[in-house]
Amino acid sequence: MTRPASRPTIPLVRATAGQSWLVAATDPSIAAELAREGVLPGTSLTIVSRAPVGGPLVVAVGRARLAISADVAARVEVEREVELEAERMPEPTVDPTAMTLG
Amino acid sequence: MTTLEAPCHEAPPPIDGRGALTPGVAGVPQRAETAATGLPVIALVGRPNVGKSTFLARASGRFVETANAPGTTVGLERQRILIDGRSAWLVDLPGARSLDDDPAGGRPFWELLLQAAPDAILVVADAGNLARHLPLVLACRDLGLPVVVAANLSDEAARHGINVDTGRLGQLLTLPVHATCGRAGDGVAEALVDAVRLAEQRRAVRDGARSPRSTAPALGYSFPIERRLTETASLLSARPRSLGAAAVIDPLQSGVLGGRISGRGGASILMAAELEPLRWSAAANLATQVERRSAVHEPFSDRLARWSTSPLPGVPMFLGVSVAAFLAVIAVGGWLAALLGSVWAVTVSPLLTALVPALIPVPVIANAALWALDGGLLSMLSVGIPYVLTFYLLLAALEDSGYMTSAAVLMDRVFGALGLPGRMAIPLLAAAGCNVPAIYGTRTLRTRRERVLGSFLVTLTPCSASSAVVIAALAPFAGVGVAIAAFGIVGLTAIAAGLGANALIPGRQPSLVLELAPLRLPVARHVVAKAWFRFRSFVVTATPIMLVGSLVLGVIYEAGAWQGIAAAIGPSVETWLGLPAIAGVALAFAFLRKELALQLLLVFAAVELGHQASLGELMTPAQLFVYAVVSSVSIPCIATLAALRGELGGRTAIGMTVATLALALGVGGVIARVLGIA
Repeated sequence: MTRPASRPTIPLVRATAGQSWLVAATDPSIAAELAREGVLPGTSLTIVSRAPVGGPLVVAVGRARLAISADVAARVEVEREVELEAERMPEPTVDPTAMTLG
Repeated sequence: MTTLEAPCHEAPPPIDGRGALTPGVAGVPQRAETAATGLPVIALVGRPNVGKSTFLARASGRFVETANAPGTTVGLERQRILIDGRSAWLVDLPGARSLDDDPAGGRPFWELLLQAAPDAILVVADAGNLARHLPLVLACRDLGLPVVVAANLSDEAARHGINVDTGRLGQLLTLPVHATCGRAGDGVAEALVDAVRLAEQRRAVRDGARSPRSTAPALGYSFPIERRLTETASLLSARPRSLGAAAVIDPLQSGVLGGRISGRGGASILMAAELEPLRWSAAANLATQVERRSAVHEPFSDRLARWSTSPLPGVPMFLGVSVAAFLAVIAVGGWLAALLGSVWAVTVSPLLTALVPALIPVPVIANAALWALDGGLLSMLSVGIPYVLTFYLLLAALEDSGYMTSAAVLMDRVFGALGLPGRMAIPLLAAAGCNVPAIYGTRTLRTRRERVLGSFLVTLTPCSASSAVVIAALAPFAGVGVAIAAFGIVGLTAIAAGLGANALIPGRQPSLVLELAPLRLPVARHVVAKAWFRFRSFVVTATPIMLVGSLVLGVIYEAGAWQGIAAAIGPSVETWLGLPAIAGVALAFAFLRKELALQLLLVFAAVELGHQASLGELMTPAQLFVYAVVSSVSIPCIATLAALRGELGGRTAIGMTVATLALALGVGGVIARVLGIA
């Protein structure tokens, strides 16, 4: 798992509920599965609820709600969204005639 | 204006020159890979739960089993549609979250897509959540096939204050985009017309009847990525020289060589891991450009959805729903069973009792036939229809509402210890009413391993009939406390066996990353259709087994062979369980119906003791305790066995029967020793 050393990240499983978090990195063992659900580095998510006794987390990604079991959530590193807000670059506007995906 | 008309089940459907859509279904759905006729093929692609099946039902007039839960469309079905006077095959593909997703188990989605050999792809996307659904659109677009986008669920999006500028989205994607609402049918016809038109064009180009139209440049990736795509594409497009033309090459390359997708398309599949993040960020970008959001009150369904996964009020909510489901199955099922049973008793039963002996002169055979016809069919009526159908309707409604997945989250940890997901809670609870529907209820589980573990736990759950035996055998003669203790022991046995099975059966529970379905009001048509679809498969698989089983037991009983069985198994029943021999016979016959464990015991007791004997005279309270526990844990009844066989195969069904029998004998033997009766 690679992540920038400058920003403090914590595993999603330890992140507090009701707050917004940015995905910093996902473990390669689960990255493809998470990507299919739209959880990629840079994704903003909010922890909606936590099932009792170490059960799955429910996170909101956009309008979707995802259940993520604790063992998976332990393999996702997140950082507080507010910390990043100041550093974030303005969203690039997209020119429809010359659009590139990457 | 195109309109949807009533489905036409006769082929060929009428052609309406005025541009009306006249959907027609040409007979039974056929296997997709045989789509070699000249008609163009349209593949229906979309993420799970986007309302694709409802969309298809609108398109073809035929109902396909849908669920408000991921992954119900597994087989490849194609249907003929007629629209604007043009015919095409519509292939419904299972819901997929990306091209390399594995919705059907074992094969990546793109292989299914190639197998369908589409000339155009109709991607159904959620208009209210484009950022999540456009990556699949972009991936399909990379394949080099014509793509039409249906921005579906537009009604739901509007309720959330989201309006999509489909014209702008179409411009940005350089694809036709239609706002659709599958439930109401809005826009479905228009989207299909576009898809058929594009598919026909592509088919004409492939057949050489038309020169290729210069297609708009696909959304480009950055230069280094485009270069790698081109390089990979040329590798894929090169026919391996060392092998003959007919040599087996991998499905991706054969798809490219066969012209099913472009070389760049094949390359995009190979480079999916790299391209997907780019598609997701592009999709987010596109969504912000075409979505117009207005402030609306959070819909009640969203609040309910949020509550349903929070410990409070989610857990009490779940318990309430579970208990209500349980009580409904018991109450409605019991009422229906009594109704059907009494109707049977006054109408069909006397008729059979009069007719069968008249038709079959040998009394033993006539009586055995009565066991099968009268007894066997009655058990179908008193188990099958009331309990199974009631539970199916309930389960279908819960599934269609989307509540099942939410409830599953709360219970996931608890059931995780047994190797089962939280959604197993509902079928397991239903098992306390009747095991049979609960076994079919395990269809909502994701893997075979989960289904085997879940079904095993179901067979160990005492159904209402078994519970009645435990209560009736123990409460009057040993006290209510003892009856509760018996249930406790049965419950502990089931949990221990479940833990053991989880440890023994190889594999482990998959890690959970699951999109929770939004809560929606169940649609009566979906619920009835799904319940009926499952109920039919229950009747078809269970009825013959019930009839044959009843006949065999009838022959054994009428021929007096049960006394021989008593003599054969008597000594082991007496020494191991400390029970009288006839108790063993009654246990064996309970295989037909669990109630027989009680009814037959009384009959046998009367035969043995020569008068209207009570159970208290036949067995001591300690013996009754052992009997109740063994009868509750031991082999599932024949209807359950039929369900197991139908759902998991004969071998697994027999394996489970043997396992429960061994478990029952083991637990019974131990209790008998503890109580000092053996």
